[in-house]
Amino acid sequence: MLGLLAGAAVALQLAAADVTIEIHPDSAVVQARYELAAERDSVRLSLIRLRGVSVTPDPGSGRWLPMTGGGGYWITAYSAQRTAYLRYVVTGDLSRIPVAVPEIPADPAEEGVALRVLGVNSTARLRDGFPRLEPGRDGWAVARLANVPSFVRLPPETGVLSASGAAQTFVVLLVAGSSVAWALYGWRRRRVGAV
Amino acid sequence: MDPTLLVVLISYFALVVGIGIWSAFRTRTEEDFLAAGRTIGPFVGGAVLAATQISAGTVVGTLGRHYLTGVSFWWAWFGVWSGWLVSALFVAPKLRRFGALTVPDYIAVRYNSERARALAGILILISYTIYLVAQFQASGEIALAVFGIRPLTAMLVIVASTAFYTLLGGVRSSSYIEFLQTLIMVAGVVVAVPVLLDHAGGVAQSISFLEGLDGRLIGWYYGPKEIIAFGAAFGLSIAAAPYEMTRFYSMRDERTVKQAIAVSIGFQLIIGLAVLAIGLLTRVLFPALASEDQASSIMAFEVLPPIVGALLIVAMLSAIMSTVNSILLVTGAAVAHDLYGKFVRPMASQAQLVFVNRVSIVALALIPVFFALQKYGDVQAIVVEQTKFIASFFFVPVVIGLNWRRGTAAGAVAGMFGGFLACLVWEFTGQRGFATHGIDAVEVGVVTSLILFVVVSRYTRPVPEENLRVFFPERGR
Repeated sequence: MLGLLAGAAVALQLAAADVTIEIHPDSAVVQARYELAAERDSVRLSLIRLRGVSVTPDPGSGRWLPMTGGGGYWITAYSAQRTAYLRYVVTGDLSRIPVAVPEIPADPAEEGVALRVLGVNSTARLRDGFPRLEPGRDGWAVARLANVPSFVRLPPETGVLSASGAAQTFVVLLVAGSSVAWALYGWRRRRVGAV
Repeated sequence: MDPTLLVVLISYFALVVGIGIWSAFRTRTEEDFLAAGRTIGPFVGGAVLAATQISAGTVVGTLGRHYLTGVSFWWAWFGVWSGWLVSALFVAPKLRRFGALTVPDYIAVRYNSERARALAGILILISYTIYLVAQFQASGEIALAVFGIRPLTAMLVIVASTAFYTLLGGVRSSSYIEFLQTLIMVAGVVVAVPVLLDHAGGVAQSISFLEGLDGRLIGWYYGPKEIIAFGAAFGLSIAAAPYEMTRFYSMRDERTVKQAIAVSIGFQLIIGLAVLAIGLLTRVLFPALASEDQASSIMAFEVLPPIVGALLIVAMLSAIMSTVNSILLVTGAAVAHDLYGKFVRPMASQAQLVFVNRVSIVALALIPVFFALQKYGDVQAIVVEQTKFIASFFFVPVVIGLNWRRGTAAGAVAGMFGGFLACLVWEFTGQRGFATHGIDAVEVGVVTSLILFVVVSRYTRPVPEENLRVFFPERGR
């Protein structure tokens, strides 16, 4: 059973990834560099297909094939000197920008994935996006992660209640409410016991 | 460390320690220590049962399995719930009426055999040492993914804090802490689902991407035979699981036990569906994690808003502590009550039994840490292995033994030992052909145990009527 259940034990081969996204009024340009831990000819990546979003790869950005069912693309990117590059342009709904994810995982102990986004509205709540972004230098919003995400969701404008914000509020209220209910329950039991 | 996570963690562990100290002043006798004075009601009892069931195996292992294999593993839950129903109908009421402190107590009285008691105690020790390995390994995965600290450090912290409140208060402290843990866990995972769904852009888009990654994620990664094997392992072990049984004893009466089981299944249904959704959605967001066991931690730490994420991480650690606590209570009792108190020093005082219980809890907490550091398999795999062993040696003498009066001591010993051995041998030999034969070690173990139990019982001396009367009051022989 151990063999049957054993997880997808893949050798850690992604040493680092550097993804930059430049947001323009009508498009976003994604450039990604993947450093591999070992020499190999190519690396396979998945790219999610998002509703209302079109992706146009640059020539030389590997071989792109649609996934079965049309949920995304399989990309074969060719590598040289342990490094593979991708560049593509995203148009349409720019609230989410797809990111190509190598099949080979990164080392979980290292935050080897650097993500930089240029052009995020200055009034946006960076930490409500996905992944959570932090303000960087020269107008860049940045994140360091242990794993490559399949897309970047741009943070909402200030004043818009996001699902994250709603969840946070709900949880705070729940914890406070439960604490009060617990105290009342204990008080009632003690009172009944005393009678 | 993230400041929100730090505050939530410190607050929670302060609460655990506080309740532990409070409980220590209320623990006087061995029965108080083990069974919380038999005062637990249906809602708290149901939450406790669910918390005992919802362990690291669920929050880390099962979620990770859904991340890796998709939807089909979810059907194994029906095995879990079948086990609970068997327990509610055929096991729990009789055991509660009997009122023993441990399962070996039941074995000893039902079969009028101290030899059977000793064997049951030893088998509990072996199987739960395996289970603790999974719990500690899960804590190591969380520590690595969230805190970036070495797994050994995380495991030792878990051992120290759990052993502390187990030693101080026993079930009374853990029952109420587990009630809170279950609420936190349900809230954490349920709240996580809409947040993840919102990030992922909806159900249709997520399913479409998952189908593209691997068509089996939404369909059948596991076939019917494999799912039956998983369900059998979980269900048969739960029907006779010693650590859940100990919880029955802490409840008010038989009716409370049945109500608590219903409440527990409700909690498990909510958590099971949420865990499935979280596993799948985490795969959408991070399709290539290094280990599926890190899916829950990565999701909580990197995706959810800080307080919700911190809450879920605390819930995961709570689940581990809760299960570790439950197991330490059972294994500690097996050493002190069933081995030391019955064989080494039968005239031991209550104070000596409690002392031995506490010393063995510390020792039994440290041994699995060594094995967890070796990382023999993923968390879910270790959990499944352990459930197969439990089912193989306890299902027949407990469930059949409670409902078939002809079962004898020799039959019980043969059934337990034979079932354990058959499961072990099949696991390392015939198991390799599982994919082609479709026969799992748990099925081999339980069937072997049943055959031995029935055949040997037929040809050996029946158990005295005074022993059977407790379990079969409805008619004479």
